[in-house]
Amino acid sequence: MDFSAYLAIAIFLITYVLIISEKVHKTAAALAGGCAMILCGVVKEEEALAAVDLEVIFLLCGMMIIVHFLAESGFFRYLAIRLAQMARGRPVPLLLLLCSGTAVLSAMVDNVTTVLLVAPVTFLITAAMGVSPIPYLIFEALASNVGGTATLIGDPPNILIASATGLTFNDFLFNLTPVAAVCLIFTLGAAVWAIRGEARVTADLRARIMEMDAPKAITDRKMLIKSTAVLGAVLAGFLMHGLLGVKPASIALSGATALLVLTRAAPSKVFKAVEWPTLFFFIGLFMVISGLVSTGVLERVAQGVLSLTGNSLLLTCMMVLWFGAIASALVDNIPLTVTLIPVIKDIIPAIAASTNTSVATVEAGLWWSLALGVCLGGNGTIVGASANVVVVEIARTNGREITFRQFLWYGLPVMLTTIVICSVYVFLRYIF
Amino acid sequence: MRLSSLLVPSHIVLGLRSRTLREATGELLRRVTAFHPNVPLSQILQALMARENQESTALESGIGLPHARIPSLNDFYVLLGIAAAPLEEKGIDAIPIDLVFLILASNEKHGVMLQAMAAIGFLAQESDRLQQIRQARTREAVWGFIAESGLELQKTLRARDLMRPVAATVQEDTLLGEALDLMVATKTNELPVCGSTGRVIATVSTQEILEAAFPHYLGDIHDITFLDDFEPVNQFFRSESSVRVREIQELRPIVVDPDAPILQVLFYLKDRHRHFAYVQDQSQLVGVIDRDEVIARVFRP
Repeated sequence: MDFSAYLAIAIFLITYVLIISEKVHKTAAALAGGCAMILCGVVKEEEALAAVDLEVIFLLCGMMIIVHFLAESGFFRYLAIRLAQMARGRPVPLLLLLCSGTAVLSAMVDNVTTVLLVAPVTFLITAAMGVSPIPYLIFEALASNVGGTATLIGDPPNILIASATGLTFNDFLFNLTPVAAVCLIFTLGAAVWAIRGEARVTADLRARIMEMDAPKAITDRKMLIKSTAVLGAVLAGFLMHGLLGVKPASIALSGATALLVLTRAAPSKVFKAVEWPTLFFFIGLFMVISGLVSTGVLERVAQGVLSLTGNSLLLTCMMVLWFGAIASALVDNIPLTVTLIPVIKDIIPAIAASTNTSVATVEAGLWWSLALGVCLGGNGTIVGASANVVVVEIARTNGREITFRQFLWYGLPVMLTTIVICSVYVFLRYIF
Repeated sequence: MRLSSLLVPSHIVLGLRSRTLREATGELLRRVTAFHPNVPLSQILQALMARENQESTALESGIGLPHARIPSLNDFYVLLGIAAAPLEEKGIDAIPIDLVFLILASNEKHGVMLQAMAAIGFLAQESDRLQQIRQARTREAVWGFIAESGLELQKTLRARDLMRPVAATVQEDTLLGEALDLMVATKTNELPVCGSTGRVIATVSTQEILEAAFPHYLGDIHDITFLDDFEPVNQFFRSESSVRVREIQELRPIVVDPDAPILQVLFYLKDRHRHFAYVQDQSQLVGVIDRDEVIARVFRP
């Protein structure tokens, strides 16, 4: 390795330490790392900028705008209240419906947005019922991570993988949704176990839930109609994007633009709903990783992985799945995925050649292992996924503390069991 | 510009015989010499009384300050009448009025009017000077005492010019119920929270009470039209005898120096969406500036 490779590693490690330690905002850390790669001459400016995946940026941005319109209409409030009323204010059915609803929503829109919108209503419903909101909130976060695993747009790592590999929305649907559904069933089982023995809610408290006037939660019917119609069209577009030959980013951006035109909302106001720090976090990370790629560092890492697993597809898949899961429980899964994607790209041809397996089979095993590992691994700890952090923060601002240990108590068993389920799934479907 | 430059001796009348401020104002307008406004006296008196009827213009130390903006007036006038006996009306310190400063301005001159009013407000603090003015035998002597005071019209209005005394304060361990009683008694929706040294450390207002009553998550939901009643909110309102001010207070009160320009104070009030700014002089609370009052005085002096 030459000097620039060592420099790239140093910049990468410093960036990672800054992100993990939260000494500076993670977006600032990632951008600083990216700029350092250019300014130190590790990577050419045009190479670093070309590494910024606009597919990812525009897909995220488009979906953020669509969800903003949907949230403004009161849709999420309405849905959560209706779910509570369907459960007739009984704790177990309520928990199951809220978690299932969160998982399904998370599969269609971003996890963080989902929990941001569902958690406050959960607080309201549990307060009206006189039960603790904590298990509901924790399992909503866990369910959102499981639900997000199911689709291309559910969790940012999936968006990154799709963009890097050209895998379609339907590829994700066929390969990840079945196993995510199984994982969700297990998560719901764990949720029921968590609130076993929960005090029975009396009839008068249940009546409070039933008396909530759910239709009034919809504050802008016209916007609801427009935003659900556009979201529906966008989801249909995702299902057919392989056939249409249009990338998901263009579909999401078209949907967002359609809503801007249909609602005549001021772009300056709508764009405030875009999480710019998240988008620039991605931009910074792409630039940092471009330094590692151009200096051949990740190629060496890939060679290291292959020597560890002896070019075995099964061992490599398990390593990617478990390493991805454990690392995601400890650090942000977005930089982890950005780092692992080029490593896996380097590994694929070598394994295919040495095991005499088709590249498509190796690709399937490794990419789905990565997606499952990094998405579900986030459930392990309080810091493992953005949805967890958001739920904890919402609880804190409402005077309820969710401790690291408390989250771990529920999250770690769910994470370990779902990863075991995924290991079996990967083995049976892609290796066996 | 000095106050004495605006108040010429010919606009001073000694020995007003009226019993009320209304009568004294009319008498002053009739008796003052070299006063030839382009607007009929009846119209001026009507404008003055209309303003007086909105809210008393009396200051402390026996000073009445009737004033009016008259759009068609072609000049700016300051008149002074000294009553032979105290009038029926009393100032904010309950001292009967016997000095009537009368100010008239066109719309364009309302800035000067505010400055003149502020200067007269400062004169009200000088009890010895006021005593000399009351005892003077001629209007020239009265003018001389005012000139001696050297009071200038400040180009910039400052916090001390528009502040009023603080009606009540609370401490951090005051019970919410007591704070609510004080708010009702002093007809205010905000009270300053003072530390042991008398410094303002926080505020408690009806806004903070509502914020504490409504759980944070309701704010995140943005709209609660689907709720008719919510027990946690009712619970809070039943707890006024156990909740202390420290639990709900706003920890960033707007505190300004007495010399802070009003422009600056208004900016803080606007920027922080607050109604009150507290004027603190050497760590002591000396007054409060009420946003509504300032707006009224600036636009409808």
